[in-house]
Amino acid sequence: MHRKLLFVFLCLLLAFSLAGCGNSETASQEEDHSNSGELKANLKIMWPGTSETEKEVAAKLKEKVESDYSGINIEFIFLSWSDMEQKMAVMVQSGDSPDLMMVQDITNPVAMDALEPLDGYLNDAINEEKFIPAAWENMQSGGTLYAVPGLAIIYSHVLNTQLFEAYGIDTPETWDDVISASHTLKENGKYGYAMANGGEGRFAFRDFMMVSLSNDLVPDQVDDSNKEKYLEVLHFFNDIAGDMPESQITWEYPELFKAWEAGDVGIMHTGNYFTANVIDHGNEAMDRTRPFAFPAGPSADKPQIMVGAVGMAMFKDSKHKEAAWKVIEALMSPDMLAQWGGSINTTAANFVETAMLEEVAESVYPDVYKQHVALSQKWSELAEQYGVPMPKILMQNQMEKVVQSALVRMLKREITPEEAYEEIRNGIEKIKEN
Amino acid sequence: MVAVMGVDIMFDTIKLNFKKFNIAYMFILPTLLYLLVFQIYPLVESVRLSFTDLSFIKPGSGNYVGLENYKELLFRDPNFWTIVLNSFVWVLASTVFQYALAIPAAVILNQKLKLRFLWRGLMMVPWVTPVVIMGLIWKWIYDGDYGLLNYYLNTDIVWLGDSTTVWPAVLLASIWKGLPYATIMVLAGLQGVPYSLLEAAYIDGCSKLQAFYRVTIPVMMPILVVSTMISIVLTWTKFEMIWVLTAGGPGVETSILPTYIYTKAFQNFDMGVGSAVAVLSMFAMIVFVVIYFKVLYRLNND
Amino acid sequence: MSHRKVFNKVLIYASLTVLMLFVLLPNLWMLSSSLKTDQEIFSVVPNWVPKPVTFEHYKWLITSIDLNFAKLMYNSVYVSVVTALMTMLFAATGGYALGRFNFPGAKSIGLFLLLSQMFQGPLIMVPWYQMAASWGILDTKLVLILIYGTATIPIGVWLMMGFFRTLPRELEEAALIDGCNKLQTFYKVIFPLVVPGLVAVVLYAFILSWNDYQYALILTNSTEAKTIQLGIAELMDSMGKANWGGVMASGVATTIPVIILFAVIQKQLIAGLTEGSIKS
Repeated sequence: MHRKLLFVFLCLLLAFSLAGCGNSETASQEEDHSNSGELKANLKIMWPGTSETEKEVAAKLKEKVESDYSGINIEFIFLSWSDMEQKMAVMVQSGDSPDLMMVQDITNPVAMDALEPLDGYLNDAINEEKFIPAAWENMQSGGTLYAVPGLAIIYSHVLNTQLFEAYGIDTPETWDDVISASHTLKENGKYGYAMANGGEGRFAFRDFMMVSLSNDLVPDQVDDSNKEKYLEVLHFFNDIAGDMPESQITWEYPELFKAWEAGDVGIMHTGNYFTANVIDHGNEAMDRTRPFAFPAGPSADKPQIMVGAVGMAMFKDSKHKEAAWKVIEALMSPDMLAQWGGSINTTAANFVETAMLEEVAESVYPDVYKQHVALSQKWSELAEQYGVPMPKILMQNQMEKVVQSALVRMLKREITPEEAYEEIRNGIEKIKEN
Repeated sequence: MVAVMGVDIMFDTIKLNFKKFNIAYMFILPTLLYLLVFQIYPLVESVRLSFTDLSFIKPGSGNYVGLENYKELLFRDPNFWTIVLNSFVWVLASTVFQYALAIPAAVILNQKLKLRFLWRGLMMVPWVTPVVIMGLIWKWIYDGDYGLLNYYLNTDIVWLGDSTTVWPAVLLASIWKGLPYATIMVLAGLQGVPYSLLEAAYIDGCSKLQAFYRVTIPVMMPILVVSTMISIVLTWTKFEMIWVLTAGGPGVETSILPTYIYTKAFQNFDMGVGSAVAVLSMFAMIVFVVIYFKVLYRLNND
Repeated sequence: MSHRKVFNKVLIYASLTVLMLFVLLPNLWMLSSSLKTDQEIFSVVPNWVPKPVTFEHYKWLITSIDLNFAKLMYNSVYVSVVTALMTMLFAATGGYALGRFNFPGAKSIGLFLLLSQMFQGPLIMVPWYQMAASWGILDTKLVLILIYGTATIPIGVWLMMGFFRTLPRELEEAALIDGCNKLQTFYKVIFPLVVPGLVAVVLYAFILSWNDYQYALILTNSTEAKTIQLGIAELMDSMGKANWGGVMASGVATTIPVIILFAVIQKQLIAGLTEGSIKS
């Protein structure tokens, strides 16, 4: 028995000594400046923009920074958006965080206490006045700025003009209009409304959140005072359940966009990232897509257009904050932003000339360039008129699953809207409790 | 005095055993050392975390909470037991079907065929195709509106969305993915069957099928036992195929233990609970392994 | 040829066809998609023959600096081959020990090997990252080889244990009588007989390393160590224009070398073995 214990003990000792207690590593604080006063740093940047055009932006950024500051060396960590939080969490938890990160939703990294507040760094070139307010606000938490927005993501619903014209339907102005339009399309063998309810639940939640916002409700507000609004939203979806494709329960964006491209769907949600998503499916879809503000619901008086952002954040544990800020400055220059914004949608900054964006867009989307620009403008107009910052919900990933599950079962007619509400409410309250 | 004698006896047995089995100890040592160096720390750390409330998104968490995570999972989590059940069914069905197909597949590939090397090579295809792409293609096969399966069957079933078809659908994809492994193992096992034994069986008047049951299968038994065991353990811990097809959803409907671990640990950032799921999962596996060997032992003795 | 023989032949080739169809169908779609234009890939009506056939995706694959296909493939092959060879060594020795000797502790060790596999996966990423960081081997091929070893070695030992047990007991006794010592017995008599098992183990280790995504994602950053699996995933999930044709083409291009490799290995090693067993 003792022999066994001794053996186990020795094994543990060996393992721990070899593991070297990863955290207690005494990494020496590297100097930000060399003797000549020049900035010196090796920077690691998490860059989830992995399409060809976004990697071009990365290459240009590297070139620009390294030529301006010969002591700075940039290393990109390319990875996909869906993997980024996991890798970031592991790195931060291991005390080895990178220096900078592209970010869409700052909620989790802020909760991890991983990000550097940036208010102290702002200057004449980068400050609140130079950016779209909703995008700026989206990168803030509790009034503190944690990332500088580069792209503005404007989410809205779109309608299929071809179908709407063919069946004489006007652009909906109330929820009832949406419902009747949806019914009409269904009667004519089309899907009135479609959403991507598969995968991890992100897209289902996004759609749900957009409709909720237009009823003046944020989906994590499940208290009694919001019960009525909540039920209105659920009843809305319930009313059009029969008009939606059954198979959407397994869909993510690629399948949803495929259905859109096939011309089978009357209304869906998307955003100003639309072109990049739909372009593989054919160009015809660009001509018959029109963004519109989802009408105000019974409890609201005006539509709300959700505006998110893609920004650049700095890590609290970065050892080269001064150099890291230089990178942010370089990225926020008009030519870099034009390159970045033009290849996807639109920038969050107001100092980039439209002509520059359009020039980039033309090179990225040569066949649908005009349509792309027209759509982008439409989205920008919507954002100006109705834009609100995308709500930041702590532990949204967990709530996504709760909402997805309840929504799917309600749409399959397995539960009533009232039961769905109870399920969502209990689920979300439990998540908040923890 | 007694203690000293005990120690003496202990050392004697060690010496004796060492002499008798010196080569065995010598041969197993590298493996043990490797695992001690590279596997023990992560393992111990995971078990330790299961007794803490560590959450990445709660700075300052990571305090000892005793059995709290386990109580939460076993008694209060409404999903946990469904997921455990899902896992058992998933593992059993995957393994049984995989081998039910792999044995005939290996027998075919063991015949004298034209271009046999090519067929054996192609057999590997599902195993080596990147899972992310396979997820894409299987989803397209199963899609309710634009799917290949519905197109050719002339149906409109949402294969991955209907609670009656989702498990068979995911299972088929998983069997497809796992078939090459099982087939290769059986194929390798078939090579070890001495032809002289088969010949003897034929002389005794056995048909090919009878010879297969009476000679081939018994000779291959150790390999079958081990490789099915490994299949079970791997299916128990791997989840890529389910993840790319349904992500364990909607909700947790198609979740199994490993997807649950992933969700808890890296989507909810709740390492404490995630680790506790992993520890419970290990215990469940132990039970499974023990039952498996008991059943086999009984079958062997009958 | 008698009727019966003809019938058998037909039966065998018919079953082979069914088997190959089942195994290959999804990949044939991948192959066909990789030869289509971007628009045709998403065509609503399934068509198996691309019209027109285009090689632009393969051209892209070879020329793209962004993906750096050749480098990532090299990394994948390097890591998988080294892992496979390393696993072979450990598995041959460890499997022999557990499979042929009933020494005290053998059963516990066997169980421990199996249970150590229960903590494979995302959960061990944080401790592994810390270990790799403190050893200074993050973002190297070495760290991948080491972590793959923790998954392939125990399984390899188990598999070899099974293969060693299929051999008749008398072999060693006969060898000892012939005057071989224990080590000679192992590599002269026993070892040649389990070569097919070793091929299976090598293959298993190779493919496990080849298919890994999770570990490489966390432990590598740069093209110096990244594997092709990460490269492909990056193509599929971004805000900008996705390159589905490129994804399909890279899928085909990553699959084919492994298939060729296996076709070659199996031919030489399985053939060699059959000779060996006939002699014994």
